[in-house]
Amino acid sequence: MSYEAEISRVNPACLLFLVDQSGSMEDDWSGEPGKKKADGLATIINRLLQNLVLKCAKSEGIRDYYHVGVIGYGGSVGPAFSGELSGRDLVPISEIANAPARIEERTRKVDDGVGGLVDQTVKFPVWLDATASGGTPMRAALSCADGILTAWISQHADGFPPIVINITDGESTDGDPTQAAGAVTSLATTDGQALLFNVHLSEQRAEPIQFPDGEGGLPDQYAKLLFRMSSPLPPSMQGVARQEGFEVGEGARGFVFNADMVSVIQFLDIGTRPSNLR
Amino acid sequence: MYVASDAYWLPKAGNSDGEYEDAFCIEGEPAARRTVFRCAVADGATETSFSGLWATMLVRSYCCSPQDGRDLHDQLPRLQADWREQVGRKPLPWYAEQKALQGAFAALLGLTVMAGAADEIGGRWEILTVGDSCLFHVRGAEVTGAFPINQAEAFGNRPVLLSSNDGANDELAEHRACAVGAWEPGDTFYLMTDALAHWFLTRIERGHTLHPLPDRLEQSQFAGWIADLRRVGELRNDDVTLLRVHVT
Repeated sequence: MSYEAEISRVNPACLLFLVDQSGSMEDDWSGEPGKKKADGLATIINRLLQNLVLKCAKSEGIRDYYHVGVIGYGGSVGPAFSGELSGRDLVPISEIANAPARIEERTRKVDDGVGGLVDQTVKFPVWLDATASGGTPMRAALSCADGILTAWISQHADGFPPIVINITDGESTDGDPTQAAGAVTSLATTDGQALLFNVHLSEQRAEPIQFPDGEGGLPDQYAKLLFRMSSPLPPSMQGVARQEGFEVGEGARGFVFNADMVSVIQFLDIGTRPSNLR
Repeated sequence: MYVASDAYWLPKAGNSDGEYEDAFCIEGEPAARRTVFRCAVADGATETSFSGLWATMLVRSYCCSPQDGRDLHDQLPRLQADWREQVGRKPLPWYAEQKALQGAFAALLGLTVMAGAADEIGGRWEILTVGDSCLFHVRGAEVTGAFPINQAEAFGNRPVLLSSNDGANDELAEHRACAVGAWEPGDTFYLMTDALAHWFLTRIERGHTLHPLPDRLEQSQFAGWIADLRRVGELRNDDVTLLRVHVT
C-alpha cells in the first residue's frame, strides 16, 4: 500500500512550500480592499508552520517528525525564511519552532463561556514576511523543488513521500508549469510518488473551494491548470479528511481555491488525534 | 475472592521509556485475597502534550474511587486543576504553552471486580470506559465479552477521549460506556490499549485460537513478543499496555 509509511523521528516526512512572491501578490485578495494577497499568503504559511510545530510539540520539546522548507518565487527563486533561518531550504521542525523571526501578539475572538465572545491575545510566530516583486517563475520554483526533493529522497528512500504545497495567484510567467509539476510528482520513495498540492489565491470574490474532484466548478483557466497539476489525495488522507468533516469524493485532489490548507496538516498521521481536540 | 494480576508495557518502537504515554494502575497488592479489586489502563494521545501525566492521573483516580469511577464527572474538575498546576510549574516556550492550552487527552478503561456473597460462586464485575482501550473477558478458551469495541474495523485514529480541558468534554456523557457482568472462578480479564486490542480482535476474527500468556512472563519476554509482532507488521507501532487479572 502507498502513503502508509510511518512518520517518525527516524523516518521524518518532508514538506516543501512554494510561495508566490511576485508583484501581482500586491493585489487585493478575494475582492477585499486593503487585504493584499501577499499578506494573506504570509499568514497562511505562518499558520501552517505554527500548526506543524504544535503537532510535533510534546512535554519534553519538539519531535522532529517533519523537515520543512519554504521556497519563494518572484524577483528571484530561493529559500524564503526570514530571520535566523534565512537562506536554508529544508529545516527540522524543532529548529523552526525555536527560531521564528519574531513572535507577534494578535487578538482573536473566543467563547466567553456564557454565550458571548471576548478578545484573547495569542502569540503569533512569524517565519515569513509578505514580499511582492517581479514575475511568477513557477516553472523555476518547481524545478528548484525537484532538486531539493531529489536530494531528500536519496537520504529517505523508504520514507513517506515528500509533499510540495504551492501557493500562488495562478499565473505563471516563465511558461506552462505542467511539465515541471509532472517532474516533481514523478519523484518517488518506495511508499509512493511525491505529492503536489496547490493553493490558488484569487482577487475574485468567489466562494472558497476545497479538495474538489473535478475542474467543472472552478472559476478560471488558472485555477483549472492548478487543479490538473495537483495530486489526487491518497486514500489514507481522504479517510482522515472525511473524519475531519470535509466532503471529499474518490477523485478529490490536493487543491484549494481562496482557502488555506491548514487542514492538510491534520491529514498527516503521526498517531492518535482525539476527535474532540479542536 | 483471590485476584492475581500483572502488568506489561512497552513504549512505541523508537521512543524511550520516558516517552511512554500509556499508564496503568493496580490498586493494592497485585496478588491477594480481597472483596473488591480495581485496576485501570489509560492511553495518552500522541498528538497532545503532557498526555502521559494526564493518563497517570486518570488511572490513579479510578483506582482510588470508592464509587468505581461512577463519580468520574465530579472528579474531573479537581483532576484538571491538578494537571494545569503541574504543567504550569515552569515557564514554557511559546509552542509548549499553546499546546498545553489545547489540553491533554487520554482514553481510560477501569475495571472493578467484586466478590459475591458467601454462598455465591464467583461475583460481579463492572467497567467504565472512554475511548478505545479494551477489556476482554475470557473463560477457558473463549472470549465471552469484548468492551467497548468488539470489531477490529471499529478502531480508528480519531477517538473521542477524556480531556484535561473541560470545554472539550462536552460529548463525554455520550461517549462514556459502562458494562457489568458476572465472573466465575478461573476467569481472566485482559485490559489492553488500542494497538494490542486491535491485534487481539483481528486474531479472533480470523479464527485463531487464543494465545494465552504463560503464567509467569518477564517484562523482557513481553517486550520481545511485541517487537516480533511489530516487525512482521501484525501490530501497529504504538505504546502498548496489557493488564491481566485472574480471579478464583
